[in-house]
Amino acid sequence: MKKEALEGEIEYFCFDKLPKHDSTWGLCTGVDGNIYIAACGETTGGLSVFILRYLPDIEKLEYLIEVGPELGEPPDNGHATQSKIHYCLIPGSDGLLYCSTHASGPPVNHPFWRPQNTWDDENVRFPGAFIFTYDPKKNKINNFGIGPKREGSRCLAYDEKRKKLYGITWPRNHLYVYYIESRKYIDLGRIGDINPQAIFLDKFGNAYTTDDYGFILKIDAETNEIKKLKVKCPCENYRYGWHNVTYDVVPSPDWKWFYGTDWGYESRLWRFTPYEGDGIMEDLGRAWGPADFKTDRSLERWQVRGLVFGADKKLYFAMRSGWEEEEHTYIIRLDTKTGEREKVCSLTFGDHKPRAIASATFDFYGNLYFAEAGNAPTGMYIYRPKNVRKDKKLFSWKDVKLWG
Amino acid sequence: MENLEKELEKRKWPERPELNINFRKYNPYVTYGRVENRSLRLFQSLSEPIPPEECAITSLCKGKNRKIYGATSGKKSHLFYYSFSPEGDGVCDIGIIEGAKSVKNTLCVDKKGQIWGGISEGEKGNLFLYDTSKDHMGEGGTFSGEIKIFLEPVPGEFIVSLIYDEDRNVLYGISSESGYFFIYDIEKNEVLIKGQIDKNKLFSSVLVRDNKGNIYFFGQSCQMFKYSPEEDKIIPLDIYAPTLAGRAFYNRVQSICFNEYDRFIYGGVSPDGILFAFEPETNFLRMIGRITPERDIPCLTVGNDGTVYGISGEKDGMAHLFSYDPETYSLNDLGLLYTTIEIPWHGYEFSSACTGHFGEIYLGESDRISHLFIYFPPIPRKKKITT
Repeated sequence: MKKEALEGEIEYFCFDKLPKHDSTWGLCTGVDGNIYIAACGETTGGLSVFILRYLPDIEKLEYLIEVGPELGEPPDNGHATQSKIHYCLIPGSDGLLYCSTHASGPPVNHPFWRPQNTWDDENVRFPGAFIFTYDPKKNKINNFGIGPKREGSRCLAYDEKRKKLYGITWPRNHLYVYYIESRKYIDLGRIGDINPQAIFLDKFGNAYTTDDYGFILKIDAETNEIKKLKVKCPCENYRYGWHNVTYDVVPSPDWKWFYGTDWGYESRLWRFTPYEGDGIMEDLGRAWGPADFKTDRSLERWQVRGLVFGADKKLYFAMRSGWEEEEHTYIIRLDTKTGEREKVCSLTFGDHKPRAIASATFDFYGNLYFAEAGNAPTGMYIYRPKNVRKDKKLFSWKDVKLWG
Repeated sequence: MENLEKELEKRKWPERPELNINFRKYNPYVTYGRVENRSLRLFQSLSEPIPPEECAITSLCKGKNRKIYGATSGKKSHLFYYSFSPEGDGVCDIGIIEGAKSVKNTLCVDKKGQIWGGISEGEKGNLFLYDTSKDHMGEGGTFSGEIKIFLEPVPGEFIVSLIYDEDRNVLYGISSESGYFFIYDIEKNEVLIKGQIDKNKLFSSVLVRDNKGNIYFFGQSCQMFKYSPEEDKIIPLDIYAPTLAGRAFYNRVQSICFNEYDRFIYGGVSPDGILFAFEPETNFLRMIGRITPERDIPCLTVGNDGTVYGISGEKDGMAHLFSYDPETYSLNDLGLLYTTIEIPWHGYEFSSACTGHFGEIYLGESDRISHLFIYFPPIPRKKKITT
């Protein structure tokens, strides 16, 4: 399905061979320029995550591999399933994808699952998040085994120089590092109660995420020391920032700033640069919408997610219009120089509306991809700007972020 | 890939069963009574909390001034008090205990209201003393005294358990390496080593005193010993803390308390996670049961009504609060500790407990970031007066 959008066209792409899978969390651009996708199944019990690939050159989708059985965890074995690769699908310059699995899919035939209810139950608990690489050329998984035991991995970042992964577990919210070459897993301990959805890297390989109140935590690339910086993600002045954990963070085109948003009640945009002292945080205000709308009671109301810079150097993101009589999710374009916001398109296609946009990325030609969550079957949206031509690449590997 | 796509077209997918579920029944959290917590900082956020990696609360006791005193473990060890008062409901970080990285269940209160403690890890295994007389928290400020470092009862060894005997004004302790049972006479500033519990280090790091002043501890295979101060003698008892069959070698008593209500001693063992009761009067020990599959019972305390409260949990686990009612013999899993007051937080790992003046239960979280949890047991409804 396609329709017109501002200066381009938007297409909805359904992963219909996976009728029960309901969310696409992991989404990234590989070094080969193809788009890699983690199609997850978190509502229906007994589903394993699949890795898919979209080839922009020929506009074709491929179903590559079912992950659970490859890890020795078939989805019908009674455990909470290896149902997701959340923000843990990270491309490497070697062509591999660096991955970690996540929990929340129930065991087969179970209506629901919670980690706290099954923690000590060997039969139905989640065994843990597997850390592995996926080689698209060989269509093979190299399984490094379970990293965090009994927990899922919410988000991941990859320091290529040190061959080191940074991740955050769910539900206990521990920060971990994994050294690929030595196969060494280190639990750095608990960082909060609310699960940050993003951990990102500066040019030196230091990692950053937030505590429960939006204070930036820096993890030293060499020592793994966790330092709470004196900068904080912004919030309304009557709040003290609870739940302002990072949701989505992308580098600016020149990599001097990191643009991000929070997971929760306000959905502001901010930008942060770590390169002076404790860093500088700038509030870009509410992501979009009427200036006077209030913090909502619902955590998932506004859904500002799927941040990605276009080839026009403008920041694109998705947001739900909770203030409209009939709500829609829109793609919005922000000119970071002027602060101007423009509506690119709604993501409503007839009766089809996304419940959420999970993440976004680009292909090297300049098309933008927005992953959908909350509908079965799951899918993605492709925004094709008019200036995109298949004989001209507007992005390259250096533009790709190595975090989810 | 093509094969996978063909297979997917034919695959029979699982269905989600009908959701006729009352989710309230599946709440894993403590809902019987009320749970709160306090960040380890001054009231109204006047200070930063005790930093992560220094704040695991591994020792708690109730002061004679009704304040709760605690000590932490980690890169450094802090002594703090919690003021349960209208003027200043918060935590005062008294200071860093010099040379200490851990103080594990060694805080106790003497008859003057001073706090004694023993260093369980760090540079040296010294005793320390804290004078509580200046402690006050209010709008005008927060005040505290100084921590004084005392002698090292067993040179070269740390202190893994410490209790106070008000009748004799002495401290009883156990040393970390050789397992010496020692007495520190506060008046005389003198240490007497009374014996070695087990020379192979197969002893438990707990001490408990009964209502007659006898002291109990556990050696190899969790054999119970009694020290009678009157006889000045260690008496081995033919009594063993319970474990699963064949596992006595691994067994340790991890937590212990004396219950004034029924005059029983209650203990928890690790790694089999069993709660037991021992009656000193008759030398009768019985196993009560296992609360959750988690391996540890790191702390126990007795509520004002004689109910025993404890934690069933383990490192990297999900701890449950439980209760045991000696009147009904009922062992109850109360659930996971989760609250949004003061800090929205799940408590997963705990190491210490004590009971407050009004019967509220304090639980010391021992995670990288830790809080003082407070459990307020429910007040039973009184029967109507009928005339």
